[in-house]
Amino acid sequence: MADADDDLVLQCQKGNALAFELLVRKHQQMVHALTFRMTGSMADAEDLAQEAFIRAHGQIQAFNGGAKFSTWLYSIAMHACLNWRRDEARRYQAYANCAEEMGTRQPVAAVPEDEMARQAQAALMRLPSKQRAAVVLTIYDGLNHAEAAKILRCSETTVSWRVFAAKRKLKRLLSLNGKSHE
Amino acid sequence: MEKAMNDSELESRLKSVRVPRRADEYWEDFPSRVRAQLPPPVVERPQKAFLPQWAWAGGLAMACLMFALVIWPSLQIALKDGRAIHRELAQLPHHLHILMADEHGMHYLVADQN
Repeated sequence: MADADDDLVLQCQKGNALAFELLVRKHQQMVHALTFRMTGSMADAEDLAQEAFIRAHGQIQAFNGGAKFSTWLYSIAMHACLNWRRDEARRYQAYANCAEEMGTRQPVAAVPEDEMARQAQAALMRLPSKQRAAVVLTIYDGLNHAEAAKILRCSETTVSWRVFAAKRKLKRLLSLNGKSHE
Repeated sequence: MEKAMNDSELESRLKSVRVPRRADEYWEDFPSRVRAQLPPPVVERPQKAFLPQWAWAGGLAMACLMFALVIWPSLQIALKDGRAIHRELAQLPHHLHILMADEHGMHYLVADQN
């Protein structure tokens, strides 16, 4: 799998645009999943995924095969998300709407699964972006703290601290949401 | 008493969040949309090995320099010598004049025509 990527990267470095399109096709779902978890929005996830691929294309000459292409691309996408500042106000408005919607729902005996998921996504979006990144990498993608630290370009201790702080906040937010439904 | 949420409960709660599905057409079109946004490839123009106008300009400049540094001073000396000789010979109009040039410059011989 990695070999196929390496061949395509080599062809990209020689200016073959079709090879890059094949790389996009191969990794697009992984990048979209990351950008969606980081933004909570389908439209922003699409914009960021495009931005990540365009950045990757711009930096492809610097890729020397020291890491897997997918890890390298993942790192670019994550940093595109962390630098994401556009429409910040709109994003906060979305959280507010989401929270309001959750608060005004009719109490039900058992909270439906999709509602639980919505609450979890809303809570995730209320984390500072670096904490959210640490959660996405370690919980959703199953990376260990050392691997996450490499992608986030920080120390392992920093990742551990961010994960700890994020979990504490998420537990608090999700417990509050749970109570509002009782 | 309320039971606090533990790590594994939190993780399973977070993992319940699914990335929304997109239509197959979206995945078909996305790579070409990215490709359309890529900057056009930089076409490297072959470097011209020889520019005739620069060669001509350089040659002309070199020729001017040679003229100014070498030829012009020699010419000045020769003209100066010539003028002096002609001035002196003009004072002896009825004598035979022989002009000679060697490595030391121009010389003349004057002989009586008789």
